Amino acid sequence: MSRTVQFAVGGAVIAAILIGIIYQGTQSTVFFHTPSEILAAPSDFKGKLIRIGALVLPASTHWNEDAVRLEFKITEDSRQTIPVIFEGVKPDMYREGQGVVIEGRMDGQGVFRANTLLVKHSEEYDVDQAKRIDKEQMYRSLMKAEQ
Amino acid sequence: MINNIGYVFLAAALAVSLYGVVVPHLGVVRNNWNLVRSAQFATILNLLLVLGASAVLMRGFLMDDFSIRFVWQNSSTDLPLGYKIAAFWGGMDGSLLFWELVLAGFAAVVAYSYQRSNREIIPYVIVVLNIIQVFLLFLLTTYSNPLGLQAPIPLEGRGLNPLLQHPSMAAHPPLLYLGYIGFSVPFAFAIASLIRGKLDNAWVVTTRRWTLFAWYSLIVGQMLGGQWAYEELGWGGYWGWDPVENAALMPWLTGTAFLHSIMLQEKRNMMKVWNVALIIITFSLSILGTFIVRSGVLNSVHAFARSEIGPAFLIFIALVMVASFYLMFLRIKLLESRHTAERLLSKESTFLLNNLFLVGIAFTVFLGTVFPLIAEAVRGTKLSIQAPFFNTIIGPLGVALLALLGLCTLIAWRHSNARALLRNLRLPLGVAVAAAALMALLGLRHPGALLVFSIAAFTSTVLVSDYLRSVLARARQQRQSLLSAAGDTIMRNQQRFGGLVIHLGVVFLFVGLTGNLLNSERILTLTLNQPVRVEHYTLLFKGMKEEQVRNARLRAAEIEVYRDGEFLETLRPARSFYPTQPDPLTEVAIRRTLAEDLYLVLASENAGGTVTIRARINPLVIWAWFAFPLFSVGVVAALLYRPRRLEAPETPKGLGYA
Repeated sequence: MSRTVQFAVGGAVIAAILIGIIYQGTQSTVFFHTPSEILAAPSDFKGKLIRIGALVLPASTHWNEDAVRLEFKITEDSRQTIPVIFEGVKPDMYREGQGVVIEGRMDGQGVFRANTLLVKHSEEYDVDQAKRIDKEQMYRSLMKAEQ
Repeated sequence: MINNIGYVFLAAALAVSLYGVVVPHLGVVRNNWNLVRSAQFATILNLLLVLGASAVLMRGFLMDDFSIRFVWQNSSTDLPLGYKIAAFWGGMDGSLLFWELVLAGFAAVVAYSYQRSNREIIPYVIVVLNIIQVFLLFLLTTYSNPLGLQAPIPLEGRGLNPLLQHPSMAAHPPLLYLGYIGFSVPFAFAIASLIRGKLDNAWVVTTRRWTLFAWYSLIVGQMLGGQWAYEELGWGGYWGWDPVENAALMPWLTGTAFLHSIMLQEKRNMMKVWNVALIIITFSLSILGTFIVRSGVLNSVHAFARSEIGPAFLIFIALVMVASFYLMFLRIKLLESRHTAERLLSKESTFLLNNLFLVGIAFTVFLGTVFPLIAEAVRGTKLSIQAPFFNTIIGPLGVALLALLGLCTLIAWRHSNARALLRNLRLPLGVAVAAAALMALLGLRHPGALLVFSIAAFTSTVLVSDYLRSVLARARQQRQSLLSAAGDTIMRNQQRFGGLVIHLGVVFLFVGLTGNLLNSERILTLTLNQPVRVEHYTLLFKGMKEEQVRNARLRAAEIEVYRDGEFLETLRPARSFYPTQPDPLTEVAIRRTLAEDLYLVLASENAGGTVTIRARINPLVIWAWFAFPLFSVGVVAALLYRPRRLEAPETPKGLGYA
């Protein structure tokens, strides 16, 4: 009798944990996309919470200190760009031409509203300086780092 | 020249470790104790060789010998002395050497400490510890040689990552390593017992202190890591479910479960299979932790470069798990327990639930950490698992654990009387309800926080009144004064007292962690001499100040903090510029009080002479740090306790570790 009760209690705890994992797994998972995926089908992404790994387009940054708002454009090939508005401050290692990972949603006007901005270039702490210049390499390593 | 000798030491240590793997087994097979003795001696020789190699590397750091590539990568001439020493474990190769050094030390202590009390299994304990050392020394002499040389010799090193230049960082990695490596001792005893088929409770009782020590090192290491993240990274918190943090948390969680379930084996002869499985998993998770930190497969704030040793670690983990579980199933008949928890309402049941919750939490952390990797490998999709995944599953489990902690103290072994339990519950439940009502009256509206604080009040009432009750009972029975009864209660059962203090520390930790539900953040741009209100504080920006601190140039914003018109102090959030680094680093300024931390980050200096700051109010942070002294006192008390088994006459003295 008491063994049955024990198994019932233990089973209920395990089931609750598993259900929590499965449910939260669908709720808290954010997928990564590239700018070209988003530009290919903008309507698919509107309003969805996503992450984008990309490079900051050189000479695109505008920092508005009074509104505490950072605006810049992201790209992966310097031709197609997506404008980004981040309500927050510039991270220490933020550089134009470097990799960033941003999380947020596309609004109706084709602007990405980011709520998180991560800078991703100091990851390669040990790689030779020369390699950092290669954007293709940089971009690939950026996506790889962000598994 | 001297650096080459260091490498020779490592190669020789590898040979000695191989000897230590093979010879004890031969000794047992040929029934020749001299062979085992020679392997014991080999552990000392091994330690000396690894010490020699470490001394060579340390010399490199102290003398700025940049012909050693690892020294060049992690140090520079301008680095303060303390950080030159800490740079030893500031990179991967050096930390592997440090790991090997500690393991060699542990192996030597173990080989000599237990030669009489565990004569039957000690040869195989030496074998297992040497197998781990062979793996590490193989890496150190091939992929990951910390003594690799380079020419031409650079004049200046690349410098230690400035993020790592923090006092906590000097102690955080070594403590984590002590924890990881500490678990290899009970693991080695478990495997040796499986090999010998000697599966009584000896291995559990013998290694109890090692387990406690490893457990303590891991938690303190993690707390220091949290402190470092809080003060150095500047994002405002101390725990972010980062893969590297998770990596250290997982073996600690399963190790905590192990510490509790071995009590069931020790006292009630239960859970024998479970304990063997738990220590195998804990040890594997310890290695997985190093793999995650050092291989760079997972993205993390801890910027270590990717390296070739990843696959080697994965293969080693796979081998450890396959071989260990295979051995366990070979011996499964010997591991059958005769006892089970007889009643639902018994201490045994609460221990089982405790293990279920802890392993459930560890499993959740594991899935959340490795699922993105698996998804990438299997489906090619990149995804990230966010903090809510961990918080919403682990939060309730943690709260349940906290409540269980109180309940467990009130429930007796074997079976408990429900009516007596209800009677004992009256006071703590009353305190819990009163605490919740009081906090609601004071304006706390967060339901989750109210729940945790009220359970914390419940559990701490149980713990304190449990102690007071035994003191009163003792004073009455022995006709002692209350004071001497209070002391005697502690000394008579140090294990119980240690547990009580550690559990109080757990309550403090929960209170501190719950503060995270109540924090707030604002980003504001401050103009010179214009006061700005942030909740109940008023901030007044008084200008920028520049100064040299050790090897860094600091630009700080002087911000006066007022509350109710009264000046409190000047906080100086800053950005520091290191000569070896292109980017400035954030130096946060924190005003700490019992109720809350005021946490200021200088985000940017703007063109018009204004500054933009992030101002956070983090309630109750200090409470989490209070757990540290309580854990320390509790662990010392629990270490003093000697299990009855080991007080048998044939047991030698010097049972502890160095």
